[in-house]
Amino acid sequence: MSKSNFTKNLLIPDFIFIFLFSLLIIFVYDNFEKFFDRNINDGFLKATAISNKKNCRIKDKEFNCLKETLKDIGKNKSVLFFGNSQTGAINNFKIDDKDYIAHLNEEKFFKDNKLIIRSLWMPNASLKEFYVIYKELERCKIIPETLFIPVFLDDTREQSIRDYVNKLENTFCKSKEKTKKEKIIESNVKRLDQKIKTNLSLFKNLQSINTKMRTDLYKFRNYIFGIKPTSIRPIKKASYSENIDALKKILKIRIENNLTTFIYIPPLLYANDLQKIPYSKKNYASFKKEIKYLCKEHYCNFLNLEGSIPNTLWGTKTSTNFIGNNEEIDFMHFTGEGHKVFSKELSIIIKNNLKKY
Amino acid sequence: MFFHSLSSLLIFLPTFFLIYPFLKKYSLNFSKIFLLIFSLVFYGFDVPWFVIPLIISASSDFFISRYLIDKKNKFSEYRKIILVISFCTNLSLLVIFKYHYLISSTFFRDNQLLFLSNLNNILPVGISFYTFQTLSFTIDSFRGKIKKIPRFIDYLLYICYFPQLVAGPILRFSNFFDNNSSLLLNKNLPKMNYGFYRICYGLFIKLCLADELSRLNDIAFDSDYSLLGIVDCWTMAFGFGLQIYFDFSAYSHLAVGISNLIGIDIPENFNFPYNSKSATEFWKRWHISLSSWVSDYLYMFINNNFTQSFFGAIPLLITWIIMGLWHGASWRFAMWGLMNGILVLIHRLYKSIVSKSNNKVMENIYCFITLSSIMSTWIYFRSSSWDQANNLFIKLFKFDGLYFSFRENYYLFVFLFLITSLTFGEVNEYIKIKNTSHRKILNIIFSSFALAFSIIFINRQASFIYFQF
Repeated sequence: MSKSNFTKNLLIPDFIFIFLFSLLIIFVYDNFEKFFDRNINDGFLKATAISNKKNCRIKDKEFNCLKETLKDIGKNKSVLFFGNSQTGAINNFKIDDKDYIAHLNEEKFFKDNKLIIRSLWMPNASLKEFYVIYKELERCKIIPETLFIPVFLDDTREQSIRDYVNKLENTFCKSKEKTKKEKIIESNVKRLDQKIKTNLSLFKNLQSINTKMRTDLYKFRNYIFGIKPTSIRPIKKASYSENIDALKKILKIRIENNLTTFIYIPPLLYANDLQKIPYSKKNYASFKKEIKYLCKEHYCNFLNLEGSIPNTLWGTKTSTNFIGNNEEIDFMHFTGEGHKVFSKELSIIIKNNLKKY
Repeated sequence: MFFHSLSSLLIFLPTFFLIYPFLKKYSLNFSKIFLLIFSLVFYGFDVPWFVIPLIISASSDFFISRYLIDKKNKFSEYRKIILVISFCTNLSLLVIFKYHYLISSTFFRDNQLLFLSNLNNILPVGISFYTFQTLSFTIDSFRGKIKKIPRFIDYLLYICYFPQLVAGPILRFSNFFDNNSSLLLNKNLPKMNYGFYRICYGLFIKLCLADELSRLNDIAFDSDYSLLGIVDCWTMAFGFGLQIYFDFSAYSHLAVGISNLIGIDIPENFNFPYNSKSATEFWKRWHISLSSWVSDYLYMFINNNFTQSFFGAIPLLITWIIMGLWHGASWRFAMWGLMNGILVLIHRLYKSIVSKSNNKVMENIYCFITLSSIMSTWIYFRSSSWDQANNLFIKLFKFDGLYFSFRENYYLFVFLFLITSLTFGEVNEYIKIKNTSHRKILNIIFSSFALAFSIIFINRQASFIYFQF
């Protein structure tokens, strides 16, 4: 077996050297912050994610909270919120802070009326993903009487549907016919691969290293192109149209079943000073107009809640830039106090809605 | 089974490389039997019955070739009939599994050949590759290029050899056997280090480049094409062109790498094709084993039987349409083939008018034109309907403003991957000329990083595109 000049002094063949060196690269990368005493942060957020039986974060392989969250919907009067990380995260979290779903659930009026208030959220959840989830809920006869859907301009830029959301389709409740897609997933190789993944803890760790690498690449891109949270985020024609179509589909199903749906423009930092928001003023205005019109067309209730949270109740996030650890404005997540304020606003809306019946 | 699946990388391949060298040391025959059985298990692990058409194709061609090679039958009047039987057997398999729907939807009113309707969507992986390989053996036997029939087990090993079975390179007799029809496998020494470098590169290109692009391309091609603009469509064309290049060349890296570990030198299938200066050159550097197969067996035959008027356009275009259909059972693939044929024909015409220039600026212009024209044809290859393909293709040449319909990362990835790929092509030429002594060290460093990145990205694998051919 030939040995290269480089490795012959080490008395090991190249391929073993390569294998060991590659493992060393991964180890160093994984522990880079520890070696160089850099700040360790969980992604970019200073916001703390909440996931519990009432406010469930839909996550890969973690459908338990989803089942718990949805178990009473359809049996009693119920309100379901779809949301993104705004629903599930509290900025600058303090020990007694609660999310707005928890606040709503604690209200005496709702308790007395035995109203079930639940939410499902995912970071950057798109309307396309909401549609996949809603379709599955409908198939499983989990139908909330009232549904709240936030329409974030930011999330209409999302075009992909996460694998774990796709996996929900036809699997959340028992299905008589397995889809063709599932049959392929159940191939021998996939089954064996799955067994390896679940039995080797190494792969669980690899997932987090992968996420870290993607985050670093994202930060590096921001650094190279000078992208900041305040940079204008353009509307993406194709993804925008697909997301709006998905929303229309949800509304269509809701109308057919004569159910109440609220579409709302979610709270936004600097809503009272549109010069500072990360969208083109013109685009944002036409977006709100379009959603309002769409809602009217589909007999749903339109709410503009963009100014519900005062600027002082928002937070900051750690840098999204590769170099530097400066804190940046967070346009998405508000503080515990902000959640409290928002819950009060929502509470009035829900009560008014209940009075109609 | 895919090489880059966890089962393959952690169970199948390590087991193979632990047992095979040991067996080879003590008994060549046992090692051959082991390699054959392993190849069949590896191939049929997901769908065991896929082995049946493989064995039918291989066996029928073996016995036909044995007849053709036999000196007693050298002047037999049945030689041509026997050859036609081989064609019919292989083409029948292709029609049954791959083309029956295309044929029935084109020529039959009911849209189905009823007795084959149950086979919809069941395509034995690599059927197009191994039928071409068995056919080349038979045709070479007919032409007298093979003097002695190899042993049946050796021949089966040649057809079922797992590193290249499902996505090439399409091996010729001379790649696997010496002049006495003995396996080269028994004579070559394994190139452990070089093989391992190639495996590392293959894994990196597949898992970190092709699969990342695949995710973005899938989103783009699933979107409403009526909303897309010129920049989007070119990005999609380039994006898919790069994806299929990375995907397929990664498979070839893995096939070459694993073969080097076993001790077989299989031919290269790619040579930085996107750095080509003409469509003709592109097809000499892309899927080399298929291009040379088509040139030696198909084009040669059609060329001898059709008129040569207008720069031999008719045989050329017929060959290209067949080549397109080889890639997939849809007329869109035929269109893709035809477009590539036209590009080759244009180059022939141009070559006859303009003398060759060594001007660097002109070379770059040729390179740009070739790259753009080849990339534009991928639209027909990737689209899922005629409507989509035609719309996207027209939009490539219709300026309606500069806007971006997808997330910024898509444009960025495609641009970066293109620049990297072209730069590597240039650097490779330079290294070849210089033959630098630092190459080994560079290989070790690059391989280590490639392997590290591959391990990090291994959780998200997608199937190889060429598995469906």
